[in-house]
Amino acid sequence: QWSSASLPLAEELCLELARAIEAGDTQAASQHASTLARQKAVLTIQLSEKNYAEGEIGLSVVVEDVSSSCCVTVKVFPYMTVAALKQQVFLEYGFHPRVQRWVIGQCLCTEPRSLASYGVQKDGDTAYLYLISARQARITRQLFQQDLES
Amino acid sequence: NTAALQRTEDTCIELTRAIEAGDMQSASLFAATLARQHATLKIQPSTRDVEDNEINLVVAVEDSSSSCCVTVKVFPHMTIAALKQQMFLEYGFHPRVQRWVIGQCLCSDQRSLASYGIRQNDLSAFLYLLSARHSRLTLQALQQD
Amino acid sequence: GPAPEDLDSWRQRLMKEEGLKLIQLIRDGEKKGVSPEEVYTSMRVAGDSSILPCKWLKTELPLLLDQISTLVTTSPLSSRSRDTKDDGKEVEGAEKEGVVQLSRAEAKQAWLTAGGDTERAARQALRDRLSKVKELSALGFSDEAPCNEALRQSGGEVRGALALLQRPLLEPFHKHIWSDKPEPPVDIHHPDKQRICR
Repeated sequence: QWSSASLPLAEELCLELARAIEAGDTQAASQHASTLARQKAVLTIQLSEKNYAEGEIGLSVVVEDVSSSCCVTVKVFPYMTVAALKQQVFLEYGFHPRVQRWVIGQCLCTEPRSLASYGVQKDGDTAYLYLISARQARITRQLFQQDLES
Repeated sequence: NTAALQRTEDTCIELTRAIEAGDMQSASLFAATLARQHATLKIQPSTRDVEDNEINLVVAVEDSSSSCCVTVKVFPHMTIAALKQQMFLEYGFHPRVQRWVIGQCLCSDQRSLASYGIRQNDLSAFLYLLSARHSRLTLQALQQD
Repeated sequence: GPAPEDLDSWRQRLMKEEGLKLIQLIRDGEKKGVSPEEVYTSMRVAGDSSILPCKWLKTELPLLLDQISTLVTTSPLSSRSRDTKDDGKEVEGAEKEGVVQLSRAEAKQAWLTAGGDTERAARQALRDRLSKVKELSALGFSDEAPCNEALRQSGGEVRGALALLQRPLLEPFHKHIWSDKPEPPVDIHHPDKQRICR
């Protein structure tokens, strides 16, 4: 059993887990994963960018809400997550992430997933940004201001 | 292709959740699944984004004869008036009988908790409860609110 | 076969049309007070059956949510006793704690987050509930059964459960507020000077 002093840092365990998975060593991968689970580590686990198409693309975004609609182009990378896209659109256009709902093809997107996993590949691909009301998203003016500054 | 990306990314999400929840069985299962695909991953510790910095305020509730401690979940940017309203909704103490003291200051309704130095967890505040007679609160007013 | 550009422009047109179809459903949903997640997930689970999402949510969803709650209650993890050893095995002879009863709100939130996958929803709902019970015990409420019940009644909201658990503590203060006994005189010699000023 690891004594607390020699407990490998979470970073080392993460590296070992990634290596074991890439090497196809299911035994070591399960063992490292369960050690991390014992510590209830908070991690981000993503496919490395090698798995995605290269280069930036111009995503055509149709912005919709209950009454109106307009179209803008947003520069994105296929490996980007929907969460990162929400943050970028928040900084570029000021729509708080909590009011943003993204639709690509038949899917309502979830934050941890990449744009490529929803089929975004080339310039001219279309995504819909549906804006729900701040009331529905329970956003207060203060929270909005705070997030913009942070 | 897209479908394969979808499946592998979903497994990564499930692995992340299993590890965070301490579910060792599922964590090993999903890790083994990814290993069978020789997936090339980027794995690193991350900070869990606290639900827009809600904090636990330790409140010593007092009246002229007794006192006891409770924990109240608050936001640093909320005002004392909002805090009184929350106590009214959660515990039924009408705002008019509530007197809040933080760091030797008798708090005024418009100011925020942060302005009294409440920013992180487990700081403490005193809630002094006046009697209805003393605060001229009538039963009828209580019902209305 | 068709040239690659045609294939690609066909793919892009399909992507745009399908997206617009879902957006229109979401817009109708918002007008009826149904969230985008509810519209999307009910559509995925109901398949291409013609019932409108909001009608499906009223008639079919409750049955699914009960399924999720049953999955949670019958899961071995939900009735493990508090003093489980680290590796998840139960300590023999330890008395079983109350079983986890999900509220409808928790089952629905888990169902939405899991995109309609009931097994995944049950697994995540139980994990979320166990971590909330842990949070309440860190705030001093170490007895799991009342914490589970308070969480069930508050729809899984820790804030609401905390209020339910702490309300009995504050009961005496209510009596005092409405009592007619005059205020006791201020005891100047009370050691806690702060308290005197308050």
